[in-house]
Order: sequence, then structure tokens, then C-alpha cells
Amino acid sequence: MANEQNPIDEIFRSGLKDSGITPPAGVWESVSAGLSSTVSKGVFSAIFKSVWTWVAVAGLGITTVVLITPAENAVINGQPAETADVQPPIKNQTAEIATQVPSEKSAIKPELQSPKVSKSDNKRENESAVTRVISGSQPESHGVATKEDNHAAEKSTEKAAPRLAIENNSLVNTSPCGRSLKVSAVGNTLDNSWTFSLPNAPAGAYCAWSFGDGETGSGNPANHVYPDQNAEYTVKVMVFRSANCMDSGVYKFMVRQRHPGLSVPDVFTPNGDGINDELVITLPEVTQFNQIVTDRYGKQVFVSNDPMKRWNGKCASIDCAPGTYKVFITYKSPTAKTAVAFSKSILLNR
Amino acid sequence: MASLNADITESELVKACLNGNTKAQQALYQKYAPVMYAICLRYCGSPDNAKDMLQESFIKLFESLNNFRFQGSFEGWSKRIAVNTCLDFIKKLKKEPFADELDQHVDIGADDAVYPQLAMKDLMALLQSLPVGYRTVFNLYAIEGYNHGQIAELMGISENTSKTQLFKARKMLQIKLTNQR
Repeated sequence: MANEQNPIDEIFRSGLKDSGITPPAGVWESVSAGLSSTVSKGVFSAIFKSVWTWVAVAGLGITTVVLITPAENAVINGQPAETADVQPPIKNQTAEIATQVPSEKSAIKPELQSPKVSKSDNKRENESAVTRVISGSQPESHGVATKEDNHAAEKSTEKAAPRLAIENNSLVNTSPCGRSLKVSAVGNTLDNSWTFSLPNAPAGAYCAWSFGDGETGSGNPANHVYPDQNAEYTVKVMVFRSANCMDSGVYKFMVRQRHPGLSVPDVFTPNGDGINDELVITLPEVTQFNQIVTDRYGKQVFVSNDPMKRWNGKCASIDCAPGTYKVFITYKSPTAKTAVAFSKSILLNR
Repeated sequence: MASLNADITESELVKACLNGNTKAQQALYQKYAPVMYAICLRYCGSPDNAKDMLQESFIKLFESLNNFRFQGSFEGWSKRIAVNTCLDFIKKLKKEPFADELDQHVDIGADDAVYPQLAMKDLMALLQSLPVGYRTVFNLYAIEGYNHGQIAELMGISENTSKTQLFKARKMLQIKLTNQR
């Protein structure tokens, strides 16, 4: 040490400099709980700028996939008008169309059952393999999409079909990393949970995800529950093959479900003024109904199986605090074979 | 993924962490947390704050792990993270922890008193009992080995302030040590 010697300094320096003290319990738990998200945040912030730059420079549009729920489209709606939902909102694209859909399908859906397909879906099924996989061959509550990287993509024809593309790039090190990424997304619309996986990422590679709703995660596969249905999310992923070798991808992903006849207000005001004092849910004809309202910590504040019973804004007979609550509705139309789920965040105001 | 042997090297451990190996991350925590916690205790005064700073330090550490260049010791690097995290906390905690610059700079003179041998725990308690400004400068100068110029730059104070604070810290510690006898 260059500093002057002082006996007091020396006492403390020798006594404390390299000492270790066992930290209190619980710190590691907190650190590790925040780890996946913070690690990916740190890495993301450093790299995503470059991703976007690269995407812009390469002149590649970001493709969009629309994942729809066949049960709803086929059974509840039963109308070919759904095609509008299937169109990617971004045009003039040069990329994509999943070319490896069939293998993908078999790889990720061993649990899926036989499809329920209406006539309208059958018709669409002939249009492209992708359409078939995404909306035709799935059971009620699953949507599946796959994609191929932009090399294969450029050879593909431009076709108005649901598409999920992922741009793949090696930013840190150009040598061994520029391999293609393939993403599959399997969703369960009952709870809006999705499983993203990268079937061709090497085992053990660290995969960092940004799910587009402010949440991040890691792993392969990675699970995520989206807060809202009928919304578009931009999902980003990075695959670290080794410490200085990384692939990354960005794609848009749409969670969309149709619930004809169902409407839940955005806000309600149980303040006793006779207007909007109860949460009025407009329903189509149903044979089964279940409604659960939770606070934002997931605690149930209201449960009902009766469509006519409405929540009055009370939590165990006390007025609930103003704020965001989440409504989960499961219902079955007389024409549908299975129940479908819907969820929405609502604001309670007084 | 690499299995975690007891004799795994520092850089292997860091690389495993970079690959997202959660066992490696936990091993890294277990290896460096005690030393970093001791630093946090030295700077923060209360165990509660120290615990928070330890947590924050580790989050920073994992966040910036990809910036570690594998040159020099990882322990030194992690200690610097802990020190800097604590300094940030102190700066936020109090706008002007080093305010009383005007006091006289008096030399305490040669000191050949014999101080009692204190356990680490008691030394820590004495250090923690210092006002935050004294404690910070004393930590940085006497224990970490920074000079007054570096401390001034780190903390945004003048070199003179740093000297004064160090002097006062020593004096206070001297009195406390004497009282321990």
C-alpha cells in the first residue's frame, strides 16, 4: 500500500481487509430470483441496438405471426372472415415462411390431439402448410407457429399466410455463430401461457428472452404468460453459444383470440352512484360459465359460476382498493365442443 | 454443461456463469459473498443496508459479468463492484456526507500506544459506529488503499476534505480503541 503507515489504519486494515463474513440467508434467493431477468436485461440493452441497426441495414422487415385459436375460429365463429386476422400487418416483406413446418409440428406437439377443423379452416388449410399448422391442426387451446431463418426465407414466395420469422445474426463474433435460429411457440389460451423453444439451439446454450411485454426470461424452452390477449408482442431472443459467440433474433408475435359477443369493460366504478356500480360482462349464449376476479397479486376476490351474478367491487365485504384487477372468464357456447377462456385487466376506480 | 468440482478455477466458474449455469452462479455467490458482505458491512453501517448492498452488488456483478476480461483477479474485480455499489449508496443516502471541512487539521502526533487486540467483529463494530463520511474515507484510504486524490475523485470531494475526514476518523477510532482497554 502506497499510503503512509499509521497504527490505527494498520489495526483495521489487517483485521478487516480480507475478512469474510457469512452473509444473512435469503440474499442468494433474491439475487437468483432477479438473475434471469437482470442478466438478460443487461445483455439485451447492450445488444439490441445493434440488432435493430442490423435489421434496418439489411432491409429486412420484421415479420409477424398471428396465432389464432382454431377452436374459436372454427367452432365458435365458423366464418372464413377470420382470414383478416391471419394477414401479417407488415407488407413488402422479403423474408420467411416456415419451410420446416411438418417436422417442427411433430417435434413439438406430441401431446396434441386430433384437430377440429371447420370447413372454413379446411379451405384455408389448402392455401399453405403454415396455415395448416397454425390454425388447422390444433386442438382447441393451442396455437403453434414455426419459422425458418431468412436465408431459406428469401427463396420463398410471398404469400399471405401467417408467418413467424426470426432474424438471426452474429453480432459479437462473426466466425462460428451465424447459424440459423428456429423458434416455435406453443400457446395455451386458457391461461394465455406460451412456451417458446429453439429446437436447433445447441444444448446448454444460454437463451435469453425478452417477451415484449416488459418481461424477460431465460432457458430453452422458456415459458411466459402474457397479460393480455388480443395484443401484439415483439419477442426477442439471444442464444449464447459460448462466452463470445451469440445469435439473436427478433420477431413479432400476436396473441389474438376472438370472443364474439363477449365484452368486459375497461373500467368500472363501484361508488354507489348507480352508474357502473357492478362489473357488467356481456356474454354470448353460454352453457357453461365461470368468472374469477383477482387482484394484481393473483388473490381471488370474486368467483362466480352464474352469468347473472356480477362483481360489486367488494373484497370480502369490504370495498376493494382502487387499482387494476384481472378478470378470467371461461365459457362454453352451445355450439362449441369445449370451453374457451378469456382474460382481461380492468381498472377499478371510485 | 461443466460439472462443478470443488477445484474449478475462477475463470471456469465465470465462464460457466456466462453460459447461464445456475449452479455455477450459486457457487460464485457462495465463494465471493462473504468477502463482499464484509465490504458492505464496513461501508454501510447497518446490517440491513449491507444486506441490500450485497444483493445489489451481486446483481450488478452478474449483469456485467460479460465485461470481465479475465485479466487480473476476479476477486479484486468483485470487491471493486461491492465498494462502488456501497459508494453509490452512500452518495445517494446523504447529499453531503463530507460537509464539515472547516475544522482544523491537527496532527495527533507520534503514536506508540499499545492497542488491545480486537476481534474482527469488534473492529467492524467500531468502524460502523463512525459517521458515514469518516467511515467512507477511512475505508477507502486505510483498508482499500486508495490515495486522497483517488478518494476525492471517487466521492466528488476535495483532497483536503478527504484528508480531514481521514484524520477525524483516525482520531475517533483511537479514542474508541483506547476506551476498549
